[in-house]
Amino acid sequence: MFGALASTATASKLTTGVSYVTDSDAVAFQRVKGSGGSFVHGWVRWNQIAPATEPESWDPRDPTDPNYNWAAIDTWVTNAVAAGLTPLLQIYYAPVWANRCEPDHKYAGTNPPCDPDPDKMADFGYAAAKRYDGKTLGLPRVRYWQPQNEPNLSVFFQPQFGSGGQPLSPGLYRTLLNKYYTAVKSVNRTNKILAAGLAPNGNSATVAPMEFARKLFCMAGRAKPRPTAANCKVKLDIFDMHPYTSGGPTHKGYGKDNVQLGDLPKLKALLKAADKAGRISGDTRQTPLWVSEMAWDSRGPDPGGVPMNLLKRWTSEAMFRSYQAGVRVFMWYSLRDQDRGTRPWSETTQAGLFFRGATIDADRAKPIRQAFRFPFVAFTRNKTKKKKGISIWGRTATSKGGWVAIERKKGGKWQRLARVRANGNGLFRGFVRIRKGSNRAGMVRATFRRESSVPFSLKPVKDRPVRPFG
Amino acid sequence: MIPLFSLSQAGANSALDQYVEEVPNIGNTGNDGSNGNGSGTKPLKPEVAKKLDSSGDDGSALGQVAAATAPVVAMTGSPAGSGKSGKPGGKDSHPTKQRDASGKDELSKLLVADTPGAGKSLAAAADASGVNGPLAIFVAVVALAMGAFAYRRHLRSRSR
Repeated sequence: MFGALASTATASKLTTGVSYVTDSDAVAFQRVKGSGGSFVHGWVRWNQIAPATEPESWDPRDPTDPNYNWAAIDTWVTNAVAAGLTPLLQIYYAPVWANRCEPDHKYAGTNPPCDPDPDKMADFGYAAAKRYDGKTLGLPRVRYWQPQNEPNLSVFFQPQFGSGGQPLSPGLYRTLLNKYYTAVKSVNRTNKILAAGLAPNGNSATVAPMEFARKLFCMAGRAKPRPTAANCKVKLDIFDMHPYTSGGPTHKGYGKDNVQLGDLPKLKALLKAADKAGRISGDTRQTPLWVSEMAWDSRGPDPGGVPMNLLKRWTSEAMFRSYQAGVRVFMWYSLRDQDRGTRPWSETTQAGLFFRGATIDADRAKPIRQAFRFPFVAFTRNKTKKKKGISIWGRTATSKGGWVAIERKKGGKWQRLARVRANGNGLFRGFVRIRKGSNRAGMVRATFRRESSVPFSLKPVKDRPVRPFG
Repeated sequence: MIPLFSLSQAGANSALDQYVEEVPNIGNTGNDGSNGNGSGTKPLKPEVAKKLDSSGDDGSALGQVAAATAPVVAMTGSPAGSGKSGKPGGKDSHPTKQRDASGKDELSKLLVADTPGAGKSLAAAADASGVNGPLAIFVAVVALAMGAFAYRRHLRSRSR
């Protein structure tokens, strides 16, 4: 009935991971692995590992200094690596003694760093990288590091603006990043430094991510970014974005300098321009763009979240759209739904790959977990007037290569449409021709070694406004 | 994002609000720090606004209603029918219809504040029935026309 044309896949890859893995239990890491993840994103709380007051006599660059308390992170890293995962550690917050200004505690319970001393941050970065250099106290190696979280957000980094309303955070962060980079690279040249991890939207308390990035790179111009006269250089190996989206996977932010999923290409273009202008000093000539956090709350449990059936589609499509924009590492925000306690749904995140149970063992996988593990999308497309069919893209659950069956549901049964060869990294894409006049609606899925993706409807779904966290 | 379990406390500003896209309200600037993005309200023409202003309190109020209910061309960031509230910029926020704590929308407030008599009863009617701006304007115009017609008949009957 159908003509099938399987295309060859590219040599590219899409590596996935999970961020906000708060548990150190081995089972947590096994579930990240089981969800198709290779990376696990954790954090090093500088303000909890370092002493509350700065000792008069100590060596902050020595990871074995008795004033440090690394116990929790030691367990986390050890179990992550034991599960076969690659840890990415983010250093966030700062001890009060490292702040150079008094933060505004607008948001209860927060403790944002306020212009943290770059030298002190570099010392701590050095100590952390040294502790996890693979040669200290029998602890595993950590190669990927990130200084601070969402430095364009006042919850995590202050000050954002000067008294005249001009953005201050990009310049402060540049100084901090450059010193941190030098310190962590001095431990091991093959360490990789992720910069930023920017929040998606600008507002009165947040520098919009495109503006932040332009100022960080000393670039100007929205449409055609070009270097400014300033003599500046920023040191980073990977640029990171958190494109939490107030709509579906093609949705663009309302603000011109916001970066949601539909805006990733413009951030990639800026990165390219900054590379070309020699603004970025890193390991590669073309700085990779990563998405280390992305998610939506699901309904349920959150009554204000995205309905589960739609979220399954959006999960796979978010990965596809990111890949299209040049992202090669994509991480889902959170393994488990957040413990809500007595708080309203809207004040917690219910974006995990797993429904939260009383214990981690009692957690249940959400239907979106399979969409994340085995992403697959299919869209009807007319290549030419005569050449009509379905464009498909996906990655096998195990990231292994081989023949993938593309199937379509008909009369309650799955029928094979075509076979596509996945490359060595499990990535496949292609165009499946369909006979003229045949139905171009319905559900399509990919099957690889007896495991099937979540079925993807060929019926287009319109964008709709959502709050990322319900 | 990182561990928001320690960031968000009941009754406080929710740190999660910072992840919600702000769509400019009437008269606001854009959320990118620039002066908006080209879309937004469509103001009354100056001559129309001037005419309304010069026609007394009712006209002035109508002018403000027109400005307040002008369309905003943007996605709202608030899912239709999400029906939640409870925090600033929360789930009930909508750029075209801002409600205050008592549940009155902009139209009701303007009518109560700026118009005596009939305006107040209209505002009450709007509150009770949830009518929107254009409908209220229509009702006001019909009421005025009917009043004028009755007054004319009254004058005629007196002249006879």
